[in-house]
Amino acid sequence: MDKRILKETLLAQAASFEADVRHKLDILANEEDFLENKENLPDQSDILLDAFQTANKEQNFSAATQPVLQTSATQPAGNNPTAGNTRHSMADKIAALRGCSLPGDYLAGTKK
Amino acid sequence: MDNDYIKTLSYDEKLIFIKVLCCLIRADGVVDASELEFLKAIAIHFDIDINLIVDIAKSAANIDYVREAAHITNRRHALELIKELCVLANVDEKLDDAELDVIINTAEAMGIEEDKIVLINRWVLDSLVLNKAGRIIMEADNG
Repeated sequence: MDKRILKETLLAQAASFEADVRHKLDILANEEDFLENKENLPDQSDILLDAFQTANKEQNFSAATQPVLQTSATQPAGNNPTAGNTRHSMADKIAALRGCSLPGDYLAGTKK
Repeated sequence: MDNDYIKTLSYDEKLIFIKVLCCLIRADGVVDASELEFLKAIAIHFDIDINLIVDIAKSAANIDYVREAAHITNRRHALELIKELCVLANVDEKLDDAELDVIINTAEAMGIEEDKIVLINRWVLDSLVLNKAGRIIMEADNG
């Protein structure tokens, strides 16, 4: 690197100091606004609880009126043939909330 | 900033650090209060008598900082010296061409690459920006 270019680079870095400070303060101020707005949003725990409750309602409805649907998700150990389906639909719901896809068997081994 | 490296400096290396730093302060011909505060902090962290630092500062005009810096052969120590020089150069929020010469020539004497200088200076400035923003938020600085 040419020495003159090196000096210009270092000077340019320093030249934006005041602007960088103001920018940082703006970011922090906007974060504060974001957090204030966030307090008005539903608690994430409430969203998750709703997801489980909705899934439970669907399970009960399915058990009463629908034949058991086989899925490609790994069936967990145990005697309940619909357990894997329940976990798979809950996993899908939670994954949808989180905006990503998880394999159904991701939660198969987890316990509440 | 991480000052753990200070424990690994020899006494002679500490003196070299102080000599080069004093040369940088002298470089732009203006002694800023923040630069003196930095030097006082260095005295405390390095556990060097402030009177010795005063003596070094008085003789700064006669110090060949490039020759002094060449004695820093430990790369980690060399990087830390460049970092301290960048802090000192930017702490008064006025980066002078003469100060840049000290930083660049010192880096060259220690075999520190120019790209590394740019990175260290950027990192130092980011830290100073954060520090200044914090001082404004805490109302210790009017901004």
